Amino acid sequence: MSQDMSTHLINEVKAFHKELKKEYPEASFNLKKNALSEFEKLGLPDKKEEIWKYTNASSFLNSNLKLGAPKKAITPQMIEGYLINTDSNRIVFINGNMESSYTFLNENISLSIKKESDLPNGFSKDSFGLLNKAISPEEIFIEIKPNFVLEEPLEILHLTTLENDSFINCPRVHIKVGSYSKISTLEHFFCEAYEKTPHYFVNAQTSIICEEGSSVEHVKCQRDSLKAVHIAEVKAIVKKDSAFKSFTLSLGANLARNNISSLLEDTWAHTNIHGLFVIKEDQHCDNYSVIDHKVANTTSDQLFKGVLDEKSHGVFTGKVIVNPDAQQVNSGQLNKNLLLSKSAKVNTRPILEIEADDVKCAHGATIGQIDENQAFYLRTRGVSERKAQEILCQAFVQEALDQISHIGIRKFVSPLVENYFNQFKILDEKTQGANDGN
Amino acid sequence: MIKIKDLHANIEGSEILRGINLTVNAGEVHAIMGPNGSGKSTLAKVIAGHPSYEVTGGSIEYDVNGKNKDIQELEPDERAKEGIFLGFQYPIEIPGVTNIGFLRESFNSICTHQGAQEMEAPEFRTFLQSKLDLLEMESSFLDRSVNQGFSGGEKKKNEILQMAVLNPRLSLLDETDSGLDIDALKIVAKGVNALKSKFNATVLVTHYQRLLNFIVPDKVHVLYKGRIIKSGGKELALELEKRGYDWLIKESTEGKGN
Repeated sequence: MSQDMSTHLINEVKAFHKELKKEYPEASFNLKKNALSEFEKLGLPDKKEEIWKYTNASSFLNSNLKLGAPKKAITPQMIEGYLINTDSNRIVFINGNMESSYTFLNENISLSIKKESDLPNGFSKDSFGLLNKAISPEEIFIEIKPNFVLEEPLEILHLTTLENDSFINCPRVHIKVGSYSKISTLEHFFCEAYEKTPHYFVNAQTSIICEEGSSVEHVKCQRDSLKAVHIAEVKAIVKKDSAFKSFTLSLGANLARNNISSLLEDTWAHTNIHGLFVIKEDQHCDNYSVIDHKVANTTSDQLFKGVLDEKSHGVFTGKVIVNPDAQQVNSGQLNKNLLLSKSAKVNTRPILEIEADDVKCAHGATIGQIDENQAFYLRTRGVSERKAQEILCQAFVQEALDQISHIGIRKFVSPLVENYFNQFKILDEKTQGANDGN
Repeated sequence: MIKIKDLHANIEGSEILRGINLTVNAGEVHAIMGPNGSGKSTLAKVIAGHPSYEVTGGSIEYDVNGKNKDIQELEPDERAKEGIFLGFQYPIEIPGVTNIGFLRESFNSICTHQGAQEMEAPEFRTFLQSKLDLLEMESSFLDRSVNQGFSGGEKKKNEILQMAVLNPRLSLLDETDSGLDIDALKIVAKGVNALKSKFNATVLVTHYQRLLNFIVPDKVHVLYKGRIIKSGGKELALELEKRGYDWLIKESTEGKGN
């Protein structure tokens, strides 16, 4: 199965490369070709690999996936409803390709588009990272000047239209935030034809470099089609005295896999890797995070919450690495899950690799159901059973959403979650769960 | 207003109520007393419709629009909409839900049921002010999560605040006096007394006579092993204060010959 899918993808990429070769400079093209041959060696991951233990990615990929998503003419009205501010800084992708006519950035933010990149601190060389590199026709570089505070969020939209059915999109975005600058960015993946549930595969990569003393918040909001596959990497390098805050919200996609990593490279660097997934039907959402404390006096904090209805399956892995010299590290991790149905399932595992001795690392995980006493309390005040359940689901997610620092972004994404609960079945049954803590 | 006949109820298979008979009329205050484990709290929870209890016999007839209705057909929220209110012995904390959001949701669902207009947020805040004043509560309570981090006294005041907002016909107050210092007790009692009218009724579940100095009952019932073994006027509570329950228990077991 995984073998067949790998072969299919390799053939698709090879055909795509024939066309690409005509318009690409040779050096750039060779980088893509090399990425493909490395992918050929690895193939798609299977569950034998520790980092894919709970997710068989190839079983979610459709055998008619193809490359070369069609360009689609869009109107400003189509994207307005998805923007926090219609006049704010933004970069718009449609079916995986950047649309310059809808992209707008002020003079403190520079944008460059390159056909290649071989960054020393580039993306992971795992199967999907290599596949992304082999396919992505261009790399988007966004650079924020030093000593600049961006009040309004930078909005990165990834719009998918119905025409994108069966296509693979591989956006590649690099963000570099200059020293002592402060920005918040919302990366928003959504499907315009959500009700028609097109099949497509988004394989996205976002790299973020936080220069000395900078403060960067990256919020990802994923509302892809319920038949889509969304596999994405967010990789941050956090330098001296800087802070990187990540929030990953997953609502859509049949399979969503979020690889989030933060490398605390120098002293007094701090990172938050927070997130929330709210899933139903047969959705599968796998969150894999890595926080790497390279040096001493670095701190991290993590709160990941999940709400699961029907037959959905959630996974959380929180890996924390503390290197031998990284003394005085302070790290906290908490994963809490709310199961709304008997058939929903969660796997949660902390992985702590601690090689220093003077550190403080806490971790915990919970899997629970709606509290009957809380529900009864609400009902004795005239609130219907259904409404009481929705209120308690909202109360559960509130703690996670409160972690989003930028008020504008928080106010934009919170109602998306709240309004989602009225589509939930919320079965009144006993639930099951597994805690694979080590 | 409510007529309970030969009520039997179980929790997880063990029988707690073993034939309760009790009638409460509009305008009355009843006190239910009795030793620990006698079934006092269970009775209040069963009337409110707690899902953990199973009614195995008897009936609870409640006056709905002039007709007696067996409330076992009604869900807990439907009972609340018909004016039944349970003041909890241990009010539940709900992190993430603000007190005002909860009160408004509750108030509006009851308004909608009774055909009254719902209230918008600013108007509702104004409406709440007099209720807060009655219970000597700061308005900052409204913006905190329901009961989270509240002291024992604050939780109980919050129960009576909800009662004041919802204006129930039948209030069941389960150990509302427990954990209160004398000042808080006086405020809570003042609140309950202010809400009393000839159209509503109050049932106080309590261990202590102390509360009954402030909220004077028309009738006092003593519950023991799931049955009412004695009923009387307010003087019965005073006698219990002096003599304890033993004499009554003895009297009732001898009377029944078992």
